[in-house]
Amino acid sequence: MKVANIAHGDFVTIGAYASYWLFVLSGVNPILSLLFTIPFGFALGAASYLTLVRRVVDSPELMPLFMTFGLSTLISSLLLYLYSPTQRGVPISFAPLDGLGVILPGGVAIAATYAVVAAVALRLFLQKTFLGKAIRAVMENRASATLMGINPGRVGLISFGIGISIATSVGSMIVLLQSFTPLMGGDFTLLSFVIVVLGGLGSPIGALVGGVVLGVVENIASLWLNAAVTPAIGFVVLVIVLIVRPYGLMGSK
Amino acid sequence: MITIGMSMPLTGTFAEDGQMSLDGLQLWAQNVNASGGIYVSSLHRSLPVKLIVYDDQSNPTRVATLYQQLVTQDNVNFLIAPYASPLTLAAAPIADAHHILLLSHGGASDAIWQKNYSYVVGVLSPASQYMIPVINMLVNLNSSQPLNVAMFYGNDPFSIFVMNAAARYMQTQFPGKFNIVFNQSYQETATDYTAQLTQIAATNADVILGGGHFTDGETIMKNIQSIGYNPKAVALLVAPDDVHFYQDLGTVANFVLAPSQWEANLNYAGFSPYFGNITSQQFATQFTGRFNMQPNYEAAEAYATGLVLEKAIIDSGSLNSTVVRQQLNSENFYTFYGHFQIAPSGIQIGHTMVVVQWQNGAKQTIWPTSVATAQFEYPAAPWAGRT
Amino acid sequence: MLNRAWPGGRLYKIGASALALALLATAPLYFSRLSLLFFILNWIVLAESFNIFTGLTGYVNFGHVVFYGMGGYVGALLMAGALASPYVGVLAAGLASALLALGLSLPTLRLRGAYFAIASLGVNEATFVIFDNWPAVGSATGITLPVVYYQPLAQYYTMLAVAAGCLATAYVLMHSRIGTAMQAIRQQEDTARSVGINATYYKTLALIFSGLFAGMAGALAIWQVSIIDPPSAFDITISLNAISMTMLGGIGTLAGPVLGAVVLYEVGDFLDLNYPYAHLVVLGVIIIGVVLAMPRGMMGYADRVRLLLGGGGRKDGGGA
Repeated sequence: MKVANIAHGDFVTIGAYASYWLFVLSGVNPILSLLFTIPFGFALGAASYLTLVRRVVDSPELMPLFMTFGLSTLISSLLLYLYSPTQRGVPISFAPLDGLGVILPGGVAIAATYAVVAAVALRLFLQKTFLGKAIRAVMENRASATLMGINPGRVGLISFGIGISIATSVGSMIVLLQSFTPLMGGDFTLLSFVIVVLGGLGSPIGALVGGVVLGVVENIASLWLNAAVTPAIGFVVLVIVLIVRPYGLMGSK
Repeated sequence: MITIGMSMPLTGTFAEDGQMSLDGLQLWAQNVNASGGIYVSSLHRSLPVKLIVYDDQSNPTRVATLYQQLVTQDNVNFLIAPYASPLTLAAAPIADAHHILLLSHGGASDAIWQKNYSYVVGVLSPASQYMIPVINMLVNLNSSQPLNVAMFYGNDPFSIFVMNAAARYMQTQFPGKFNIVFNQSYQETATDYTAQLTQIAATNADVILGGGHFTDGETIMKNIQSIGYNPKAVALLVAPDDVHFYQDLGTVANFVLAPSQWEANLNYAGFSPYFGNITSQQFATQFTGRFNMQPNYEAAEAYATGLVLEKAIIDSGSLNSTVVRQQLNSENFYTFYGHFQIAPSGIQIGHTMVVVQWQNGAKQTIWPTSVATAQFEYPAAPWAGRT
Repeated sequence: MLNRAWPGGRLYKIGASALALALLATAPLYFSRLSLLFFILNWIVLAESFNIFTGLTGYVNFGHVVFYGMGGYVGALLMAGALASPYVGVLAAGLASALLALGLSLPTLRLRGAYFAIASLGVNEATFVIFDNWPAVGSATGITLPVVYYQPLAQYYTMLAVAAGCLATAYVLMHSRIGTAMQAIRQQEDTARSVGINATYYKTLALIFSGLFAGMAGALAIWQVSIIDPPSAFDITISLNAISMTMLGGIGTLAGPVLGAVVLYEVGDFLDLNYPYAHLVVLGVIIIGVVLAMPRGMMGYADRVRLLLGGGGRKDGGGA
């Protein structure tokens, strides 16, 4: 499937709100709320696929871009409508981990662990299971995968569901680290594009590496550059990488 | 009928503050009309007020269109500015070109009064004043060593203006008392400030002065806690003034300072009789009863703006903007919101800021001592003992 | 297909355009809300200039607002510094944005499809941060014009002239050999290249014209509004609006963006005043709904009506 999902970051926001409300209403720790946000995200993703994405998969590229852009606008403005632009946060904090002269913030350690676990699990899924192999086959060549008896519709449904469930579960991790608003989704969409382009399309471990590289570049840059400029670094890196390697650092056409 | 036109940011970046401001003004209008309106002596009768309000979506372009509409179509008597400096700056040239009085309640940037407008009057303390009481309070600690100060603030006109004025004030008024060891602005939409805060921690700063808006202020505190950095005091703009600050951060919010234009527990009694017959506590009670939430200072300064207009209309006996604007030059009085007095440019010079601190989950006024409800807790307790 | 965008014959079209122009040119005589007309025209130019690039080439530029903001800044600098009359300012702003389009096209137009769209989002963000931290353009404070630039009539007529110029340019582009070439690129870029169409040249040309008019619209807006700062100059909601207007009216058609701009500006105004926040929800629904149900927008319906009345309809897939 070749759908660039402009609404990806807005599903992160949805996950953040889900974890926030679980915490506020029933005191569920955001780490535990992963048990909800993962299946919830899958259901959301599957539903969006069936009602919206499926119908533009075969259209010219323009249409899925517009479609997901509209979806992004719809999600963020509905969240605004429902919850106002007020910032929200979960009053939960972790003691920093201090070892070997390095201080690691507790929340960051938890989120990073989750990222590694998710990336490894996703890789194993894509490499070892029949379904995972089918997804890769469709990614590589939709037509011949269909000839081999793979149903591209079902594959699309499942891969979109998995993508969105990861996005919403990231929302659960975000609330450990920062306060958020309905409008933060766009930033995450851009970040995830930068990271995927750096790490290579279709590679979960590549995404992990891409994320780490971006984080390191931003932090090193912050030693010399004013903090106000650092958010742009990722996009400058993105544009440069796209120019040098139009299909991503590790990806190929 | 006295028509008062305005746009408010009811959606977009400033939506929350815009709604608060509008609520404050509507409460004022309701109170005025319930008491029979404002007496205009040149007309020999009292007239009710009517607010004409549009949503500007926090967008200066829309502000400009809407204020032109208010002046040319709705023919309003007076204008009230939208919340926030960039929006006020967009409304000001139109008000000035049409010679209609524009009262600013939420546009604090000093730049508003540096453009030689004749019809723009501020009710709130300008940006250059925000950090002044915090600095005075820190000097009052009488520490033998100079304090190491890290300045870390949002990259928006308001925050930049506040912090530049703060730096100037520290250097010119109290030479040798402060060392500025770090001075950077940040993008308020960033999601993580750990890198910069780690650098600040390495400078051994005693005090962090800065902040910008809501989300960034909360994230900064989360980040400071997460790296185990323990500055003696942190003073942030805007975010800690809001009740959400404690709801979202819990005990991490304790000890954090913020400058404030007004607090519900403030009592300016003893200076002069209240104008408008309303105290801070009465205002807060009425507001909570009507809108089912605590007013913050945005609501209070908006209500007070109504009072200022009311007083100037009564004292001048006119609905002519030029006459009322002239009258404001000679006004000098107190409302529940504090002192009102302006310089000829229209900038507010009477009103003063207070300092608040979160203490055990309650927001206390700690400076100036004459109106304080609690003592300044300094230095902040170590993180280990707090969670 | 494009010359049949309006129902009826050529005479009918010329007559309708002339009537609209005459009504707008005499509007100050009988209509006092000139600023309303000004902003509708401003949106028409923004939507049509978006359409000139995306509608004709099929490449989605989410960063269209970059040209608008750039033009706004150039206009603001020239006017605030009293370096040029507003007319020269508007023209210079258009040229500056056209130049920016040329500069951006060199690297980004090598990218295909979704990669271009994503890069355009990145360019938008990077431009915002640059202007937000650039002292020469007032950093985050932006630029405010002095009161002398309050000239409603001059602003309105300049806006009208730029709008007419933008539509005329779009018409010429759509009806010339250039337009045919662009249409070929949109439908099948590789095939177009293989038959000798210089795809990069035509895409660059479209982006330059797109930038030119968006830049002039930006300078006109700052002349009217008299303040510009980075969040409002590079607000992605502006691109969002231009996209919605173009989609709703009918992407790739001349009259579509005009129709979309008029309808959405009026609907948006109404929603804003009555249902805050609903405005953006509606834009999201419109974009999704148009993609799903009528990818050719309102102009698609005009065609269908014409088909029912016995005329020839458009045969290809519209803007897609």
